[in-house]
Amino acid sequence: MREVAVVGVGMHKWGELWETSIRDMFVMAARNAMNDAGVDNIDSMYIGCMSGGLFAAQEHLASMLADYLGVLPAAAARVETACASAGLAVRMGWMEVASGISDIVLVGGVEKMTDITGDEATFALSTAADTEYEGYSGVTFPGLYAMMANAHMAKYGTTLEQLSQVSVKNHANGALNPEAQYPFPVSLETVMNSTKVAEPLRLLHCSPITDGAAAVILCPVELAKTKFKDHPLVVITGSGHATDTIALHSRADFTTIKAAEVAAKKAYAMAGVGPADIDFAEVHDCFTIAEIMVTEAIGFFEPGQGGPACERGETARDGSKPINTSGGLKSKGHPVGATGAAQIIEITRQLRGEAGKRQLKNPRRGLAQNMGGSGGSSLVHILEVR
Amino acid sequence: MKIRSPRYHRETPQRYRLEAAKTKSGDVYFPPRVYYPGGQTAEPFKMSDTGTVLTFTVIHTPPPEYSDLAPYALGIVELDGGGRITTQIVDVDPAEVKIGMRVKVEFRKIRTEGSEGLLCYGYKVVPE
Repeated sequence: MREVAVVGVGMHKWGELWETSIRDMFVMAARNAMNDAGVDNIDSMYIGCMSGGLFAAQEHLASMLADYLGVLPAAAARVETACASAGLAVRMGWMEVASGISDIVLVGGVEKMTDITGDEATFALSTAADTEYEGYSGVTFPGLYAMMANAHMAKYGTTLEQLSQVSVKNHANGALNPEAQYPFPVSLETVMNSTKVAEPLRLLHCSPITDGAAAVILCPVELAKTKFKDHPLVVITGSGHATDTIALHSRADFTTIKAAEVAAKKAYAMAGVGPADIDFAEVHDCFTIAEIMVTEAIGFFEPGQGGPACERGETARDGSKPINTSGGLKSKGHPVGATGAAQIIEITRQLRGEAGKRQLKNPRRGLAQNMGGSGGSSLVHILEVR
Repeated sequence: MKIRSPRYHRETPQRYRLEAAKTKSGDVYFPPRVYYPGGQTAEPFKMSDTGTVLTFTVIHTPPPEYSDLAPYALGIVELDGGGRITTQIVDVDPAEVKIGMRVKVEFRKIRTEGSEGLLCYGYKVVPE
C-alpha cells in the first residue's frame, strides 16, 4: 500500500449563498484545491453529498460536477453516509491512491441547503435517522442529540454552562476564519439565553444550515516529494471508518459515540500513535454535546470529562488539546456533505503553518473526526507534516 | 413530502400492536428483522405497554407535520420485558418529565400526511 499525501486544499466563503448554485460552489472549491496543488487535471474524484435530491433536486452529481469542473471523462462518484459523506470521500480517494489505481484524486463534498425552506431542511436532515421508527415520532436531529445531552448530564453531571462553553470557544476560533459562515464571537450569556430548540439544546448549541463545498487533492507521497514541493509535505497516516445502529434507541449507551471510538482506534492503530500523540483535532460538533462526547470517544478525555476539559480551557487554541480551530461546524457552518473535507483542509492548513490568525504553534499531527446521523457512522483521519 | 399509503400500511403491526421479535438469547428486536445477528432464530413477541423513560427532550422546533403540537416532550422508553421505542410523552406538562419516569403506551393519532390527508396512527406514552 502506498502512503498518501494531501497536496492541495480549497474551499470558499460558506453561508447562505442564494446567488450560487450547487455546481458553482463545488467548482469554486475544487478549482481552489487544484490551483493550490498546481494541477490542471485529475484521474478521478469522490464527492460527498448527503442529499442532492432532497436539498437541491439534483442527483447524478458525479457526471454534473465532473462536467462543470472541466475534467471529463475522469472517473467520478458521489458517496453518502449522511453528514460524514465527505469524510467517506476522503477515505475512498485515499484507498484509490494507496492501492495504486490512481495518482491524482480529488476528494471533497458539497451541500446546497438553502434552496428549500427551513422546515423542509429539517425534514431532509431527519432522513439520516430511522425515518419509520424515530422520525415518525416527531423527533428531530437536535432532539436526538438533546436526548444524548440529557443522558450525559444525568450520568456525569455535565452542565448547560459546559455545553455553552463549547459554542463560545468555537465561535472565538471561527471569528478568525474568513471562510466561516458566522465569523464572530458569542458570549456565554448569549448562548445560554438563545431560543430553545430541543431542551436542553438552544439555538447556539446547534450548527447552522449552510451552503458550501470543500475539496482536497490526494497523491502518492513519492510523487508529492518530486512534483508538489510548494507546500510542506502533509501525509495521511491513519484512516478509520465504523458504523453503529441507525436508531439511537437501539444503543446500549446514549452517552458515548461508539462508531467514533472504533473509527479512532482503527486510525490510531494504522498510524501507530495514540491520543496523547495528537496535537489538535477537528471534531464533528453538529451540536455542542457531540463535541464533548467525541473528545471522550477518541480518547482525549475520560468519559464524562469532556465538558469540564472544555470549561478549563484545555480545548481552546492555547490549551493542551485545541479542538475545532476552524470554528467547527458551529461557527464555520455545516453544509452536511462537505464538512468532512473542510476538516481535512483545516488540519492541513495548521500543519503547513497557513492558518493565519488562528495558527497553532508548530503542530505536527492532527486528527479529523466526521460523523453521520446520531453517530450511526464515523470517519477518523490522522495527518502528519514531515 | 408525499408518502403513499402502502408505506404506512406495512408498518401497522408495529405501530398499532407493538409486534416485535425475540431471539433465543432474549434480545428483543423492534421492528422484527429479516436476519438476526449471529444467525439466531427469533419468535414473534408482543411488547409490553408499560415502561420507563431512559432519556428525553422537549421539542420546540418540530418537523412541519408536528408544528401544531410543539412544544412536546419526546423520549426513549424501555418497555417492561424488553424492547425500546422513541415516542412522544403526552398528557403531562413537559416540564414534569424526568428520566426514570414510569409510562404507559396509548394508541393515538400521530399526524396527517400529504395533500390527501391520510390519518396516521401509532403509539405515544402517558404517565402510568
